[in-house]
This record gives sequence, C-alpha cells and structure tokens, in this order.
Amino acid sequence: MKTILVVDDEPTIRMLVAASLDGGAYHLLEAGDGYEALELVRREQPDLVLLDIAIPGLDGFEVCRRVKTEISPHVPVLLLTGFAQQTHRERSREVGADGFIAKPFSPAALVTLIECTLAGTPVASA
Amino acid sequence: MVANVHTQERSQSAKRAAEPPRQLDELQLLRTAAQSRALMRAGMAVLTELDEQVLLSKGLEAAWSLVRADLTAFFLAGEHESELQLRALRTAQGQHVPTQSEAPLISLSEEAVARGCQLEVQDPREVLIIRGDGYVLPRLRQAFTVPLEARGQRFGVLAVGKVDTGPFRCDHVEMLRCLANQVALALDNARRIKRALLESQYGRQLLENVADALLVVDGELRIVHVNPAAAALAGRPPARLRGRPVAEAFGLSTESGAPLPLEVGPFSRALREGKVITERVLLEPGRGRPAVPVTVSVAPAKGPDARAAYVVGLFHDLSREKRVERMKTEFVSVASHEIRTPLTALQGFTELLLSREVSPDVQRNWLSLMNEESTRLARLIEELLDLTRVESGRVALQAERVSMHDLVGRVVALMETHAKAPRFEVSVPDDLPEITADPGKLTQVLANLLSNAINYAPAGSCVRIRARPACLAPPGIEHLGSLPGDEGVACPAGISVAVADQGMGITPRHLRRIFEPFYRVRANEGQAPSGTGLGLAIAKAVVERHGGRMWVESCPGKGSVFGFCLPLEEGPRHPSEGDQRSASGPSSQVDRPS
Repeated sequence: MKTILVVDDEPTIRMLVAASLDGGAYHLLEAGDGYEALELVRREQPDLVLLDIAIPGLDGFEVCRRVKTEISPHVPVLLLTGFAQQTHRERSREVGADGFIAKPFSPAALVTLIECTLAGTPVASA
Repeated sequence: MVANVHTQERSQSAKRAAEPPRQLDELQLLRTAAQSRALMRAGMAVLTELDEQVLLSKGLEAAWSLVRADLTAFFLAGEHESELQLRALRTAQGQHVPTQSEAPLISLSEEAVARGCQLEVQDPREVLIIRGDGYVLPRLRQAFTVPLEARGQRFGVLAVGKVDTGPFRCDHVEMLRCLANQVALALDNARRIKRALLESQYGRQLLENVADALLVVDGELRIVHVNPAAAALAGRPPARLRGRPVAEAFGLSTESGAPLPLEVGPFSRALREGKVITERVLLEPGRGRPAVPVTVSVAPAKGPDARAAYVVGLFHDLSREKRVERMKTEFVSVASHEIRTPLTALQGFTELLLSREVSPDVQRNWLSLMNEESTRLARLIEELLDLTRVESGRVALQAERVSMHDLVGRVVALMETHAKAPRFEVSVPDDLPEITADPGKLTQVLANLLSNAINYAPAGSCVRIRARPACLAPPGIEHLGSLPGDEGVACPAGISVAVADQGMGITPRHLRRIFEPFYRVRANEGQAPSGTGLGLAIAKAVVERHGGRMWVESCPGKGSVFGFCLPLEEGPRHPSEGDQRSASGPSSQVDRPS
C-alpha cells in the first residue's frame, strides 16, 4: 500500500483529500505545518507528498525544495494552492514540484493526478 | 463740428508761408529743439516711475510744462476692467487726485471713448462730461483726447481742454501725442514689472513649498535651482547641487531598471524638442540608497530668443502609490485565497456526495463539514464587505449619543453566553461622558476585541475591560494617555477603552502586522487559527472612521492589551486613512501608549 503525506493547515481540506482517496486504498499521513511535514518525510518516507503552499512554519515551496534537495529527490511532490497566480505555478516548477493543483479542485481530478504521478505517467496539472 | 488736426495743420502751413523763410526756420528749429528736450525730460521722468499715481502726476506736470492747457486729465482703465475712470487732473491751480466719489463726476463722452483716437471738437461737452459741482473747473471751449496706447494695448485716454475758442496749436497736439505715448509705455512697463515681481515672488514661494521635487536646469543641463524637496530627494543640500550636472545628482533609469542615458532622458529631450516631457522612471539617488519610482515632468521655459533656455523638472514620488497598489494586490490575493479554502471544501464534498454511494453516517459527517464551511464563507464575505465599506468611507456612520458604560455592559452580557467565555472584569465609571458615535459599529469593535481575547485566553483566565476619560493626541503624534488606569484628562477630550487578556501574548514580529487583514496568529503551531482574520482590521477601520486611534501592546507569555480611544464628538477622519484603503498593510501604525 502506497503512503501519501497530506500537508495542509486546514483540517477540512485534509479530510476532503482523505475522503477523495476513498480510505483503504492508500496509507495517509497528515501534517499541519512545514516542519512537521519535513519530519514525516524523513521518518516515514512517503511515496507521494501533497503539499499546500500557505502553511505555517516553512511554506510549501521551501518544504518542497528541501525534500527534493536534502531528503529524497525521487519522492513526487504535488503542490496545492489557493493562490492561482502564474508566479506560483512558475515558482513550483523552480522548487522541483512534480505537479500543481489549484483550489478549489475536483476530487476526481486530484485522484487522477495522484494516481498518474504514482504510476509515473505524465499528466497535465489540473 | 469735428475739426481734425489735418485741417489745422493746413492753416498753420498757410501762416508759415507768409513769414520770411530763414527766420521761420531758425525759430522753428529752436522751438523744436526746446520741445524735444522737454519731451525727453518728460519721458525720462515717467519711464523710470513704477508707482502708477506718481507716474500720472509726473505726466500731468510734463503736459503742463509743454502746453499749459486749462485742463489736463488722465482717464485709465483698471487692470481688469475696461471702463475708463478719471485718475488725475491738472488745472492752472495745480494738480488734483480725485477721490473715489469725485472720480465719476467727470467722465468721457461716449464718442471720446468709442473713437479712441485723437479728437478735437468745438463743444468740449462732446469730450468731457462734467456732472454736479464737485469741482471748480474752468469753462472749457475746446477739448481733445489722445489715446494712451503701447504695445498694442490701450490703457486709457489723455484729455485736454482750454477756455478760449481758438483751435489747439498743431505742435501742442503733436507733443501731447508724444507724451501720451511715453506715459502709455511707462504704464505698461510699470505694470509688467510689478506683475513680474509678484510672479517671481509667487513663483519662488511655490517652488519652495511645493511637496514635489522641483528643479531648474539650464541649457547645459546643469542645476540652477532646487527646492527643498528636490534637495531631500537627492540627499544633498541645495548649495551642493547648484551648478552640478543634473545627471550626476538625479540619475534616472527606466521602470525596469535599465540606465537612461542623458541624451534620451527627459531633461535633454525637453530642451531639444521644446515641449513638455512626462515619463515614469526610477530615480537613482546613488550612494546605496534605493531607487525611487517617480513621474518626472520636464517643461521647457522659453528664453528671450524663444528657444528653450532652461527647463523646469518636477519629480512626483510614486513610492506611496506603488506601496498602496502592492497592498491592494496583496489584499485581493489573500482574500481570494481565504475564499478558496471553504469553497474547495464545499465543491469537493458536493462532488463526492454526488458521485459516490456512502453510508448515512459519512454523509452526515460531510454535510456538517459543508455546513461549517458555508457559514465560514458567508461570514468571510460579510466581513470583507464590512471592511471595504468602512475603509472606503462609503457607508455613513449612524452617529448618536452613546454611553460607553451601557455599551460595554451589553457586549459583555452577549459574550458571556459564549461557550469558551472566560471571566470578564469590567471597570467603567458611571460618570464617563457620553460620546457621539455609531453604536452599532462600536458594538462590533468591542465584540471583535472581546472575541479576539476569548480566542487566545487560556481557560479560567480573566479578561479585563476598562474605560476611562482620555486625552487624544492629534494623528501622527505618539498617542498619549489611555493606558488602563490613566486618569489624566486633557484636550481634545475623549475616552479610551482597553481590553486586556492573560493569553500567550504576541511577539513583536506579529505585533507589527496584527491589524493587517487576514493576519492571524495561531494559538498553537499547527492548529488552524479561528476566525476570519478580519476582526481587528475592521475594529481599527471603524475606530479611525470615528476620528479615533487603535493600539495594542503585548507582553509575550503574559497577555495583550488592545485599546482604542475616541473623541467625545465624532472627529474628522485621518488624512492618511484614505490611502490605506482596503489594506491596512505594512503602513498600518501600531500605536502604543506612552
């Protein structure tokens, strides 16, 4: 079973992601801030990280950069943001994110993105 | 009846022909020379005079010495009206400056005004109209007028009259015409000089006091003059700027930061093209100081030969506008982020409910989450509208007499029903003066401060609310008084209200930005903050709208005090408020009680 780390400071969003992934199919880890997220990536070595950008502590960009450069360049990281600006999209590419999804998102599209990323199939960011 | 001068001249030359030619020539020459000298003296006398009345008086004396007419008078139009008015007259008895009530008693006939040319009449009433008996004047039999004209402008009329019936001598008419020209020229000069002096005085004052940076640059692009604002912008005293090349002290670059060579810069272009150049550029003050975004306007000033001899440049600092612009963008961006979060939950769970078969328990769970999020969204939108309405000043305050004693009581009673409510300790004197304010908006301010305190107050702690008479300092000056317990009252009178909690306190880093919209401090790291993050921003906007000030002070680990003071009478809005608009942003001042 694949492990997915969901990082968002909004519990409702974490619950929505969990509900979208239909329980049982994945092992889910949750973090509410950047430091906790890094700690979990190190300790639990998840198969994928779904990372909100506006989180307390270190922001999503910085967490992504550290995961890619300091922990494991191969762990896919998908960035999640409520700021749908072009600069955020560019910034997420710069820090090495594998995908970018803007809020509000469709649960089905999120699941597709996660499945494709885990399978190594390239997919257009939702 | 109008006998013109040419007829007169003909009769003169007829006389001349009868006399022996040599004698006539000598006499004529001598007379002409004397007249020329007299005219020249008169010209010198009037041309050097700047005071209009003295100038006219000298003109009258000159006319007297030249012609000795029984009445000589100057009628002038004012600088801004066209009607001619008697300004000075001379008879054999001497000069007289008419008073305001005397002046209308003698006026020019319509014909004399309308024709505006040399006019000689049999009946002097055709030139001069004398009403009443305000003056003891000679009974005129002959009169004529000469227009006072210089540089194409008509200033008035010189009127001359005499008691005997014979025609005016041709040379007298000619001399008075010359004198009139000189007086007109002198008047024009005097008025121009006066205007120029006045303008240069205004100009200098304008130059010194205008808030924008102004500088005058000569044809060689060297600084001639700078006003204090320009000196401040360049970071050097005016004395060290004068004579320096403009490019050295006011280096410019394009908005994207590329250096702007002098040849294509606005100063050179204004000089070369002779027109006003306006551009948005970056001003590089040098010496490691940051570039300032400015609008530069350079206008050529025409020299004597109509080519631009120097240019006047004006720098309008855009930093403030840029900052406000940035704050607005940031506000919109953060607001849209805040709206997207509940929207994501609503849209996401709706899609899941529609696409999946789930148990009634799960369904209920999701629906209750959606309910919470839609409430949050509604509240967020309402508060966003509230904040923008108050900050933009579009909503009028419903001001009435408000007793802070009663208002605090009501809000505390309302808050005590809150599940997490701590103990409230209220201290408001019964005799606290009433204020003029919007009670609904003040309730909101107090409720926001209390819910903020409740959110951060540990269980079992105490929240203290105190109101006191206070002294209000004018905006911009460090806030005085209004500390809880401060009993000092001074003018302008007001009251202060403080809400003190025993929460975790706020670190200086957060304190600086605490009144920014959406700025929230988490009660615990990792825990989502409650509330919309707009409560304090709204409270601050409402207080400022009432002409009051909001402040906060905090001791990390011990608690925070949020307070505000309001004038007894609804005061004016702070001028700075308008610029802050929908984002209180980094410029939002956190006033601390001294």
